[in-house]
Amino acid sequence: MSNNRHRRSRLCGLAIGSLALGAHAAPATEDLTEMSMQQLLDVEVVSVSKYAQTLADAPAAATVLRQSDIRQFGYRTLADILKGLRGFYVSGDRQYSYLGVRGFSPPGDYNTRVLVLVDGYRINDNIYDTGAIGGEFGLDVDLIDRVEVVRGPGSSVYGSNALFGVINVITRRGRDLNGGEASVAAASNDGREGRLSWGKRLESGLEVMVSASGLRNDGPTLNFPEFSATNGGVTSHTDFEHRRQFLTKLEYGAWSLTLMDSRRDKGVPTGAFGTDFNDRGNHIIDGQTSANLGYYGVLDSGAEVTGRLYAGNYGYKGYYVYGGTVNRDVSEGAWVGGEGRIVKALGDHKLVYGAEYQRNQRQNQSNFDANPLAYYLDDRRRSERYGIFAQDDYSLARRWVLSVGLRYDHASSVKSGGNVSPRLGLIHHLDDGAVAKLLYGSAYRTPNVYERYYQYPGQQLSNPALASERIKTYEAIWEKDVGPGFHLVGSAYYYRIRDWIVFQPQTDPFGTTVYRYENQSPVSAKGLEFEADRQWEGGVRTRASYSAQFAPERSNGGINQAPRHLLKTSLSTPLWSPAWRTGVEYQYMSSRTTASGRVGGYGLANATLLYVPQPRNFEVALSFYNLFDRRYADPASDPGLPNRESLVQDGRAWRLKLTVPF
Amino acid sequence: MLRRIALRLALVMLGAVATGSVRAEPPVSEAAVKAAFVYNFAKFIEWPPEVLAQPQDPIRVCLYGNPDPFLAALIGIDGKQAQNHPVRVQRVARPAEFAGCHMVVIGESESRHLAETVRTALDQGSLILGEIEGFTDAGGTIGLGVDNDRVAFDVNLEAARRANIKLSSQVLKLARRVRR
Repeated sequence: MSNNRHRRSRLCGLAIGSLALGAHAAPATEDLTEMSMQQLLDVEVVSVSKYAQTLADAPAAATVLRQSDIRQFGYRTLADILKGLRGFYVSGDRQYSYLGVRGFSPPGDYNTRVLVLVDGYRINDNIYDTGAIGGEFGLDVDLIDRVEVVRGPGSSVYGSNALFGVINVITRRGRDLNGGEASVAAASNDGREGRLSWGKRLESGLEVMVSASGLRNDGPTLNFPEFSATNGGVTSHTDFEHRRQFLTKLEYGAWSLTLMDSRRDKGVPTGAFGTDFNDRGNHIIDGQTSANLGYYGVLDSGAEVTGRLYAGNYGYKGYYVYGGTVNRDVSEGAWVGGEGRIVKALGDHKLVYGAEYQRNQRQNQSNFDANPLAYYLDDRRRSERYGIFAQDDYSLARRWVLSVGLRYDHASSVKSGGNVSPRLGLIHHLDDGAVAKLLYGSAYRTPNVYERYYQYPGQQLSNPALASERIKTYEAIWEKDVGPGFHLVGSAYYYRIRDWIVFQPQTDPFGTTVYRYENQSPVSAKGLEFEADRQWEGGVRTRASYSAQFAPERSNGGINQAPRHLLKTSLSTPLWSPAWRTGVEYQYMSSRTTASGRVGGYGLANATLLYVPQPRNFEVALSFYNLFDRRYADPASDPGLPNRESLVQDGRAWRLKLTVPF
Repeated sequence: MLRRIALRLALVMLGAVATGSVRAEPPVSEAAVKAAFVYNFAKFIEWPPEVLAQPQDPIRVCLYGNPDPFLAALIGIDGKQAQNHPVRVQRVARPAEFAGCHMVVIGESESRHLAETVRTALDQGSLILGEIEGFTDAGGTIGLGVDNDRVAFDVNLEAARRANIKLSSQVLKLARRVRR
């Protein structure tokens, strides 16, 4: 819903000509302006559609982060951005970044339960369903205008994967850049970054934005006591990362065309899956390419129409060295699709309905040794899915809104085929300006081809019989603007997942431990969240949130690696002069369970010093991450290394960045 | 009954797609009435004498936000006379351009970062108007809303004081709520 709303408001800004929309109101204005205020107060009016539904009315607990936050806190990836959000946490294994939300963090989850969108386009691929957030996310965060995070199930509008939330990334537009922008950065571990962007709204009405980014980092020197036999357990230059990202956006009238292309090459320094330790030949390459043709228009009836045609592909190539032999793990996904959506106000109702179709032309996975040639897996699939949905926001009375939504999805890949996702929300504006929301939602996720068909001898078994997992959620939210710039939010939720798909260890007929994705018996979680966000006089902003989440850590042999407590605080303030600013963050996470033990809780501080002269001829930012060099670890589970339960994460790192508009 | 529901549903679908609206045009649009209120405020607000010194100095009404029906309706008051000054309506792209705006009208699209926007406008000595729910609580000077199908408005006197603006007693008398 949120995505749709903002896409609308964003696109509405496209043409001043769309102001003509209100033209039917103009003739009336002529006469009305002759009336006195007293008379005007007695004129009966009929409300017309509002383009933007305010976040206060959104049937969810939502948060928006802006480009100014990205600059003030020196965020490097989408993961950095999300780490600071109430109830979100990120862990890593030096391959990918994994997002945890609201008490559910099973091992082997490749961000399948959160839907990531870029300008409304689904980023989750069609092999692993991954909503990428780390370096593998295909967009340079410098090009983000804002990130809207909607917590809770979104399947009633978005279909599969939107179990815990929807993250919609909205990119900057040509007019926002209004010229060129170059950026270079140096970072710890011999890191170098660069970006070149240009954007403008031309006189012809065509709006253009093009950007190219690159990054290289050698990675820190790491020490793994479990590999003390090889090079004393020390490895360097193996945690490298090479990244390149391209983005082109063209907008003209009601039409937009977006092209995205990205590739990330990441070293695997951890000896993952039992590979040779301290060998630079272990690395993974992820790439995604997409083309999007979008349409937005408002009909004379006031109905707003959005449409999109898209094509995308995702490729993964893993190179794993076993005793000098390179094992290749490869997957290729390709898809085309389209969607349409209509928003229409009718009296007290605001109706949204739409349909979506996606054809997965390729969902291929293979695993082989190149030399000597030996195939372990060659799985080729294709499938299709479609969904239809409708939602009605009904203003029952002046202070009450009832939101009812329903979506039906059909996926050819699963036997049962159909899924129905309802949503119900009641929103009440209290007398003191507070907003209370009561929400019920249901969402689902179909098992992906990786979970069902991937297998590797001695490590992982396939499970073609996997069923979809379903979640039912209940949430109560209270929000209030206590004063100018002072916002408070409180929320309590109860989530229950049925047929939860979890990576489970088991003993095969030969007595070795192998893993397989399996549907688990129902698990529930409940939690509380609080947040205070305040903007003070003189450009100072403070934010603090606390989340408590209660979910069983072990059930039926499966584990859940969610922390019980999360604390996030941040401060952004000008210093001795308005040109100097600093952004400081402190984030705490309590201890988490591993297969047989625990990793300790930890608190991390990040700090950025930003210098922006007036006029803004350039901008310099110096950032420190893990400022106090806190040593901490994330839980790990590796089918090739059954004894590995945790992985130590990065110590202090820095980045110095210069941005020059031209 | 079922047939009527089906018919109604079909009409809703059609109404969205067809060029003409199914529903008869409302007698008066909410946006137009709100715009008329804004014009009335321009007539009854006292700015510091140095702000509108010459008769030809226009009362500048700045529209900030993505186009919405309210902002669109305000274009209709451009060129009218208020307190012997012409009213000039213009769009501004960013809060940094609020300087010299006598009235800043904030669109629905700006609800999320309202507080920052309001502060910028206050620093420029502008009267801040909007139809966002809780507008005066968020620091806006005059918030327009709808009560029982009639347009009503709230006033925030503190915001007016900070911008050095005087609201006439007529405005205060007719306000639904006055925040002091």
